[in-house]
Amino acid sequence: MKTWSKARDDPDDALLRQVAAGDQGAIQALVARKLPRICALATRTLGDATEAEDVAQEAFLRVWRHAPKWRFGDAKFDTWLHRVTLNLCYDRLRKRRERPAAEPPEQIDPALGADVELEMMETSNQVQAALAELPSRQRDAIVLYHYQELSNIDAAVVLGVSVDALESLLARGRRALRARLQGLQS
Amino acid sequence: MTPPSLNLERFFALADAYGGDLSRWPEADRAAARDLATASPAARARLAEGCALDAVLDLSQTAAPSAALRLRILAQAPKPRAISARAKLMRRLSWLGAAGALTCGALAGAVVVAVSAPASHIDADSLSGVYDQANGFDGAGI
Repeated sequence: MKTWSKARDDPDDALLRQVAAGDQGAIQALVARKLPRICALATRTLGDATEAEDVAQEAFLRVWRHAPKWRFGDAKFDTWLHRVTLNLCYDRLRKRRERPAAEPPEQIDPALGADVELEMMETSNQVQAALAELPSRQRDAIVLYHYQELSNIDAAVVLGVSVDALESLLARGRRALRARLQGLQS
Repeated sequence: MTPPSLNLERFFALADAYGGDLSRWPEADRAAARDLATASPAARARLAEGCALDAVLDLSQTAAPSAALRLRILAQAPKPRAISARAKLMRRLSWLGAAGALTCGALAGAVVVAVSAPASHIDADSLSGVYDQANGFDGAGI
């Protein structure tokens, strides 16, 4: 049985109540607050910006469906949304594995322009590639904790593991990344 | 004073997992970790290693969501909540009550006129028309 982190002080509560009442301003505010986070999570998990957008759209469809019957106090909305998004990503990763000639994950295209921008894009792609090479649970732990800035407790809840297990995933993942990205550390 | 739960070994384990930013460490360990980092060069060195990796991880950028995606998501959002059937019924009943009161007033006026006017001036059809008008509110569209 899933145990969600308790949401007594969920910062999204008030907004979600307005969304449930169909308040268009609240709906726009929720999208502005969550969409960039959800897209970043899906992009880092899938390594494909287009697929990440599809996932984000599906995740929000679930938000709209669940908002009117949301049980306030049961779960933190942000934690729930991260779990939903990760599950949608896992579905896609599973389908990718089932396809015999799956496309390699897309990386950010270098923009035409200054050398500095190009170099930044290359560095970003290097880090993204190193993340993508990690075992999936280690990558997810780092994405949730470092990039999504979830607390250790919330990240553990999203992954369905104990805090100790999360620490172990983070430590192993970071160790592997340190080795792979040694050239970038100065 | 560092509590026994946060010896150097545990500090290293936390730094390896959570990185170099102490403000992101588990709240229960933060104060003790700060003390230990102040007191121990080895702890500070481990934090610096964590910071270096954090900085490298921060070099990874993701694109902002497109405006088209935002619009697609907003298009699927729930519309303002429709008035429930019960609320509609209550609204119609209140209209019916108001119409009934008006009708009663009109009838009372008609009776006064009828009493004070010659009988030939009372038009039965116009009276039934008043009832029909009131009844016309009843049940329509509920």
